[in-house]
Amino acid sequence: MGKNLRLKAARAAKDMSQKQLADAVGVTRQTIIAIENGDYNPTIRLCIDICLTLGKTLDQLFWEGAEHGEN
Amino acid sequence: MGRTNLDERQLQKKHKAGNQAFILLAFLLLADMGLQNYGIHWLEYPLSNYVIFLVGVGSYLVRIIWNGSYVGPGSGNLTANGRSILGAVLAILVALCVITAAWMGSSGKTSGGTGPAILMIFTAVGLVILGTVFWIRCRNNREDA
Repeated sequence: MGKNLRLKAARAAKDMSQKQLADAVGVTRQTIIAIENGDYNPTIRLCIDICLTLGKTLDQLFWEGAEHGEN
Repeated sequence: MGRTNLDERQLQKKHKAGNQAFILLAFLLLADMGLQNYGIHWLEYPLSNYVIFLVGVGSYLVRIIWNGSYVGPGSGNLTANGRSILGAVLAILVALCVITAAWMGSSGKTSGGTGPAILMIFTAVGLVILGTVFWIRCRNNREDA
């Protein structure tokens, strides 16, 4: 699982720190770091919470097909 | 999710560490039984089991702290009550530590009982746990982008 740079970019675009995003979705900062680094595969519930917080869709943040040119 | 509950990644890591610690415990107890059968007494009976238990629990504790699964999210900002309780616990532990040290010093460890030593270890462990929780909270709540 590669790094999720789209999540990092979306968070930076919203001018949010990892801590602020973590607080908004109810997880620890280490969990956000792990998701961004591709070390942890979040549940769909957490993905949706992150998307709602950052104002993005699941496709935009977590769909890997776009990254690999599959769709 | 409550204030002190762990998040999904922490729970996953904690369960994994717990399962492996349990298997380790079972394996070590079995190995101990095997050694006893062959007449190898590396430690006397109750103490050997306690040491094995400590190894299992210690590995579990170290791993959940290492994985950041010891303190959950949302416990960064202590309320006034929380601060009071923490202060009281800390004061009690320090007082216990001082009293125990004084007791051991005055008796010159001549009583032969393990009570003071156990009390000293108990307070030291309590202080270490409090320090660890404080350190983890600081680390979890560090602001960086």
